[in-house]
Amino acid sequence: MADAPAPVPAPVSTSVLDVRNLDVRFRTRRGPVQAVDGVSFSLAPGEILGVVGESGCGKSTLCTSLVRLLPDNADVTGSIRFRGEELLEKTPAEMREIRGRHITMVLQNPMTAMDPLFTVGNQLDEVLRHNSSMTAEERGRRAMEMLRLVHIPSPVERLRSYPHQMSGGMKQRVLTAMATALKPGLLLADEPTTALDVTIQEQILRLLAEIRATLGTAIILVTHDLGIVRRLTDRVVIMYAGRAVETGETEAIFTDPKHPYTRALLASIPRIGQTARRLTAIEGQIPDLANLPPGCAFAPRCPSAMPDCTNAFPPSFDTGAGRTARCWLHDGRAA
Amino acid sequence: MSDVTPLVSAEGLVKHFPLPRRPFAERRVVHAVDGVGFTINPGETFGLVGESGCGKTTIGKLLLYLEPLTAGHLSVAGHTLSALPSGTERAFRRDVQAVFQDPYGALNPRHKVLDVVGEPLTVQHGVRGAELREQVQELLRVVGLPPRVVDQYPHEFSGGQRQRMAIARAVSVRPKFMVLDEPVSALDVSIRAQVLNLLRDLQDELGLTYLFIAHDLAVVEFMSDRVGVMYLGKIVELADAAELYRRPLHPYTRALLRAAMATDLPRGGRDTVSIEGEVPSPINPPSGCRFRTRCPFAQPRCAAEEPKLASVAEGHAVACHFYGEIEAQLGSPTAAAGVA
Amino acid sequence: MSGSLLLQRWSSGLRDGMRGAPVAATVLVALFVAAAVFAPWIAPHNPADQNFLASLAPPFWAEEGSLANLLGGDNLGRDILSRIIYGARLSLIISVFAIVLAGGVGVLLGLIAGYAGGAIDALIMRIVDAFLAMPFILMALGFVAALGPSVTNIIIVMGITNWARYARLVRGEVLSVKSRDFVALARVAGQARWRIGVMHILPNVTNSIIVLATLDLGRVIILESSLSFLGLGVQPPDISWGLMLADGRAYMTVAWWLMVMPGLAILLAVLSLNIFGDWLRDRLDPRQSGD
Repeated sequence: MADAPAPVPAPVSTSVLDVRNLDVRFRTRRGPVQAVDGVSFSLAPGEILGVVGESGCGKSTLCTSLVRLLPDNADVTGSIRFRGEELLEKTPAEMREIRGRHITMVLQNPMTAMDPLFTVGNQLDEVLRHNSSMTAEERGRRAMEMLRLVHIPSPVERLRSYPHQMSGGMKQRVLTAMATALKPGLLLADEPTTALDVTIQEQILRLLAEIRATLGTAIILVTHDLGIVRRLTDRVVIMYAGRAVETGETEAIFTDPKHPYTRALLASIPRIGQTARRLTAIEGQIPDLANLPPGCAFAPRCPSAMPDCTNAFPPSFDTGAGRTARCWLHDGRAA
Repeated sequence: MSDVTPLVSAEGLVKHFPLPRRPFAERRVVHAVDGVGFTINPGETFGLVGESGCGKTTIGKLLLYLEPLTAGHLSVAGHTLSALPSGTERAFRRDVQAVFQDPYGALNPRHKVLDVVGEPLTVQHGVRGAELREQVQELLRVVGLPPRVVDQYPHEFSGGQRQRMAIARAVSVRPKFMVLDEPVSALDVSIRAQVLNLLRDLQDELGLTYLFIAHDLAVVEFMSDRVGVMYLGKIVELADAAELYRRPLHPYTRALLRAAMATDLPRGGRDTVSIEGEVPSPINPPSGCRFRTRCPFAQPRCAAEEPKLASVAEGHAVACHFYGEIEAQLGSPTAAAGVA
Repeated sequence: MSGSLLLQRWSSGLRDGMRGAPVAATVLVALFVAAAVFAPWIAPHNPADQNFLASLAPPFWAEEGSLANLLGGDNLGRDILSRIIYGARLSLIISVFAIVLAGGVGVLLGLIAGYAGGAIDALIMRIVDAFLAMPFILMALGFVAALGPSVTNIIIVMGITNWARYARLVRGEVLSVKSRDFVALARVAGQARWRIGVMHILPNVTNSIIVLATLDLGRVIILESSLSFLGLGVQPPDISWGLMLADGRAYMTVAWWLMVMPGLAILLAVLSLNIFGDWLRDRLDPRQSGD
């Protein structure tokens, strides 16, 4: 690619996670599909990072690639440094060691995430047993401690109940407990509240904030819901067609979005108190990753599209104070 | 308020679903809807908001005559549903149509788009062949889809496109009233605005009346003229849309509003009301006020006496014993945020 | 559209449809069907021709074998290969008709049970349970004892003992399809109940029926062979693989090919049908659910 105006910053030695130029490419029957293209970001200890986008933007693939759980037909290149160590160079055994103990996940559907044949206590114990060398007594105590941390009422009874006896919200709390029982450095939450009611969602979000505050765990929150992002995250990565089209501090992005996609998205969401009869919709369809338009993938739908936009996908430009945007509008070199 | 005859008039609607009988035990029911009343005027959009188990989808089904009423009086577009004479069902169905949440389940995967969109026309007006083709193509054009898709199958299209087909199908017979049950919840964010705009435009062009069911208050406010907030089978607050957002009185409404404003409020904004706990089971709803088990303002009176949905201002009713005190304490969340 | 264009579209559609098909199994199934259909033209000999000189002749690769009888001859000197080819014909006819009968009754009752629900569903399902509990051999014995063995009677017996499986499958599928939104929307459109059953529910159930029927073919072939082996099924001079097995039993020690050849035929036919059916199930499935 031509010289990138914003040089990819050197990895910060104190970050929990440093992702540089991450590419994920799937070998499919229809040809190669680039699900993630040149994504870079850092995560400081105890930071909450949002990864936002719509279906097909690559956010879930990105999340799964961080723990190297992609299917066999995926080729991953770039760099993923967790606490300074390059994950892409780890052996499968080493990755297994890291997963479940240092990097854990909470996924979207609490209904299917637990084994219906074992009690909650059993499953919590298994996580502890598998990933640490605690004695049975220590595990028992830690399990109770975790259930209390996630505000599960009557934890003793809960340990003896089966998943189907609990509601979605409660299951998600237990899953969060399981994911944080060993005080991991990084928690990946992939749409953890999408399947839940709004009031329960609020509770889970508050819980994640508490986890960050008490355990110091860094969290990557993958979601399509901009409201959740603003509520909970410190920084955010906006994804479109596999690229990180805008990154930066959450508040800054919401008050002053730099990328046309971010701007258009924020403008198209119905807001309380808004009186317009029609919404400012983004025209067109979400692009098919197997069939991307030439140049910038957002150009066909972009209200600010310029003739140059169909030539090449813009690289990441510096837009000030730790913010980047992949848009030719921010090409600092242009006169 | 003008003296218009409402298009939809519901009074004391009750819907109980019986559960399988356990031996030697009392008969149990799911109290899906327990005494709900509202009216919808022609050309209006009535929004029904609430979370799972509140009964809003059941109300939609009742208005569509897909489920029989357990009790209550219901009249839709001139048809009295509580006592629909046999043989008039088809006429009723010409006047009332629906769009559901899931664009993937709403279209028969074995039928071509032509048959999917054209079915109501064929059933109601016997339109077939070349004439059907022409009319369906015109409908597709109206909803923003290219006419040539008539010969394709639904699975070749995205969620947003399928939802447009579902809308084309619904408006094909020029109904008077449409039940829209979470029509955009399953769609991508950037597509939602397109479909909401389409629904708005169609309403203006065809003079449609909508029941708009959703769980997102922001979307409901945008679409609706009047809004009903439901919880566990009951309406807990009923008001004009603008009034509801300016002055939410019920604690549950406040919580929903707070969640809906998340995109607008900077982080660390004052949490007006935090709701703990889970929704109780509709098989055994709490005594008195059904919301009391999760309400941070609950008092003993709330367990003893069920609050009635009572009018507190012009067009604004709330079912809460202490709305006045709560309002005095918390004020208006939207005013505080400088939003409304 | 011109003939050649039509053929082109048809063949590319077929190629697309058969993508990923298990090659060996499909070829064997095709051979099986071809043998059954074109028997008179394919078989090297008339299967009823007795040739004293070929009596108990071994297959062509053995000493004393000849190319005249590729798979050998039976005790009456009849060519085994030809008999196997003709046996395919009867096996196919009987199994297809049996499935059509069982499927026809079973699918109809399953549709009614699933769609109507309530008491009708309960009644039909209890009958299904009863039929599923009945032992096939005993029923066949009783039936044949009462009405005598004939191809028609065999078909009827297999229809009676098999319909219940179709009914149960279809009823389950109908219950799941019934709850999908497009069925409710068909009602909202004003469509009549019975029409919804035929136009909306049935087409979404056919895939499962096709898969079951394909897998059932193998099962029914084995059932028919068993009946014929026991003398309750196909009667001579008609030819069935099961009957050939029975005939060959006496000569097992001196002329193993009398039993092994028809046995292999049964094995290969059923195996290839099962493999084909498995592939068909996978092929039809993902496109059905949701997307």
